[in-house]
Amino acid sequence: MAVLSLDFEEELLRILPNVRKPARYSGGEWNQVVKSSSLIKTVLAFPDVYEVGMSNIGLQILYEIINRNPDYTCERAFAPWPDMEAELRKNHLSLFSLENKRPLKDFDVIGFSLQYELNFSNVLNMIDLSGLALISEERAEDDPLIIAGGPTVFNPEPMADFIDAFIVGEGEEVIVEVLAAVAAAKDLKIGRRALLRELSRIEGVYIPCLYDRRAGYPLRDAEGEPVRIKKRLIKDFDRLAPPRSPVMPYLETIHDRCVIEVMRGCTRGCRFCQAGIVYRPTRERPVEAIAAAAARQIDDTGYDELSLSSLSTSDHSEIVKLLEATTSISASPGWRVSLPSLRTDMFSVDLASSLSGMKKTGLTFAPEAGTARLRRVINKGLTEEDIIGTALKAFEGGWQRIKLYFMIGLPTETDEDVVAIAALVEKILAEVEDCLGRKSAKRIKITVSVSSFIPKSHSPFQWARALTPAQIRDRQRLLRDHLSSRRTELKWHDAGSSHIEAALARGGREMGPVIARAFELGARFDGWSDSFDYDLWLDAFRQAGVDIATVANDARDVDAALPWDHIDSGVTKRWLTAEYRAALDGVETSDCRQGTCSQCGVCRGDIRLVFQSGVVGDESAS
Amino acid sequence: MKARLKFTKAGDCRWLSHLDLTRALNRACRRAGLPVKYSEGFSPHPRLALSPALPVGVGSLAEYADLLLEEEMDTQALKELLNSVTPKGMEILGAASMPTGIPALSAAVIYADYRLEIFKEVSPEAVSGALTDLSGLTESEIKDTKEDDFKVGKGSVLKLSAPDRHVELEYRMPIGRRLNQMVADLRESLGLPGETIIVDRTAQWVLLNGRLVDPLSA
Repeated sequence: MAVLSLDFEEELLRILPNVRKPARYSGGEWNQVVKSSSLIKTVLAFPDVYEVGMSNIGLQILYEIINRNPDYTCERAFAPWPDMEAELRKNHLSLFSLENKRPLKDFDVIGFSLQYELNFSNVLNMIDLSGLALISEERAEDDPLIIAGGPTVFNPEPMADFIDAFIVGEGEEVIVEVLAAVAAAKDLKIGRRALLRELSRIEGVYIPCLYDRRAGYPLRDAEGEPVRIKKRLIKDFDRLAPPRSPVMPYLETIHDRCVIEVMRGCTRGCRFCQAGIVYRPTRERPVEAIAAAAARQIDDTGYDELSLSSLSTSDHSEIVKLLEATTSISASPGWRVSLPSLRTDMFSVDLASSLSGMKKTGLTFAPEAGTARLRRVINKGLTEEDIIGTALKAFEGGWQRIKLYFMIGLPTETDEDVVAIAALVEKILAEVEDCLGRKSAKRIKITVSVSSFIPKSHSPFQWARALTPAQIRDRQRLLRDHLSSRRTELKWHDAGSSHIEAALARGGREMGPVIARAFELGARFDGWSDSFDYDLWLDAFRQAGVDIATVANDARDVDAALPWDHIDSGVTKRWLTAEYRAALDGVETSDCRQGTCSQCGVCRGDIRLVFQSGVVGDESAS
Repeated sequence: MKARLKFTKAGDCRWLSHLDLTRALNRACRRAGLPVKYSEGFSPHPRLALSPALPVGVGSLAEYADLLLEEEMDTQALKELLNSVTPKGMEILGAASMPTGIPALSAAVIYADYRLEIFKEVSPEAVSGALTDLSGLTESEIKDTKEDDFKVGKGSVLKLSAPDRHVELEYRMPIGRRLNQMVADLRESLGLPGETIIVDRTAQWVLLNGRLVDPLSA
């Protein structure tokens, strides 16, 4: 088929009118960085659609850091929607970056952000669309280096066939070290294999091809010693500046506002939560730094909303001062500050009340379990009074909608625990009616959002099993049957999707061929319910000869080696095991902020908790 | 003060929807620190109103926006200030102070001119013939249309040429007529289902004292 010309821009003029939201691919946004030439060209490849990727704060952070170096360029590429993928393949065009419309094969480094297991098929698609071999070891000497970071790389084996180098942990410092090594290797012409060996000397970098991955676990090096890749951590996060000038999307994105991380890490220790473990220890940013960064970002973007982001923002030791400082940054009538992740307590409702504009949206809380017993198991530590009191305060305060997050499939869960979710919600509604009167109570709505528990690596529940789809559906049905009020809305996650996510989260190197097969069969955008095809994935498992039930639905022995043992999150296995046992006994562990250290192991040397209002925790922890 | 801006939707901005464009201009105004007036009430929004919407994929050399400011500003300074904070494809070409009480752009604009580049070897005669069929005007009526004449009926050809093996058409249409439909009809008449047709708006017109004028002069 004849093409207009070899000029890429002209190709785009021809194909973009045929796709939805062509602005996903055209770039040109305010604050984009376009450099015509540089020593080292990198592209951040986000394996989801533009609107999702542009909401990722990690992307903005790394973009800015890399571009700050005049010798490096950092561009962006996102997963093409199926209509665009069809156009690219039909016209024999490569996936390209937004800034310079450069084919991905022409970069020195392609960096994938692996936020979410259900994006893995998109990663393979993007590699394939770049004209590169899927398997790392089959790539040519001059092919770009493919690196990956993000929370899922704490269990890297499923993707280890396809990625040349994993970066474990926080990326701000290590990315600079990696690129320096790439630049030096290019300059000295030392070759691909030698570069990979150089990279393996950098802390936090895991190079799969340097080890024999066909043997059992744990992964061992040439001397037979177990491999340990220590995660990277920004010790002085409190002194690290947030991005100044994030790229401003033209399209409406998930988080169309300034997003500033007010802290990293979480002290709560909820046992199902991987993020709470891998981002330890908690390090808070000072109020002045957050406010100053927000003011700079507003100047450079024109956003009129600020989101104070973290795993549990109302835990920031100076949250009240922080809200006062940030709400007064801008005099614009439309200026809003929002708190995304609220603790389930009345203090948080008070905080939310102090923010104008918060009442327009609903409030979201995460009790996670329906009985006090199960909440103790997961270390959530909320009493029924806490939950009902918080909900009541929200409704009395003028909110008409709240959303409650629960999980089903948690370890030790019984039908009684599931039914208790409905009972709890009914109890809240009854209390609301008592306090507000029947008429006002009629306008209230509670959305109950139920996800399926996925056992994640490096959490205390890493040995627990995921329920089978049939078991999940049974419990969803049970809950549905008991939640009858017209003032509630029940939402749940597709059991098939959770099953695949569980397999990808718990699996090891046997998952490589499964993911490859799924991609070949056409898996794309698996995180989107419209695109996810459970049967396709089951076919992929069968064709690859892997039993999904063994990977996802079997509990693991606490003494067995795990596929992710070579990745060191800083938290000891001994502590995780103790936490798991405590969970099964229904015993709680206190929060790092409450003065007693449970000795998880992450604080050692100069790595420590950083609280802004003086150190609350036990400083002698080591 | 009511400031009327004339600006481009060019380069990568061609792919923006009307909402995307409005949002982009809004943010540029905030980056510029302009004292934009906000609406009253529960959900205050900036008093910014654009000229009639363009579809995704159509660029423009002549878009307009009315901006209500809390204070008076020199229009040249306004133009320069905004141009320092607009993305590459959005250039402010002019700014004028408008008397209060003039009709909104969405109501005032009656005609718009478009340039179509058809990347296919089609004869200008074939294009003209197809347009005659589509416009409802006779061929001579089309040829006689002068640039500032507002008797365009369904649409009239301003210029038609065939440089370098592609056809360039400049066409005036009433604002109510759907551009996408006209382009689709033209494609069908000429038998060009898959060919590239690049469309740009080149002008918009308001009626003042019986003559068509640029909205900045209204």
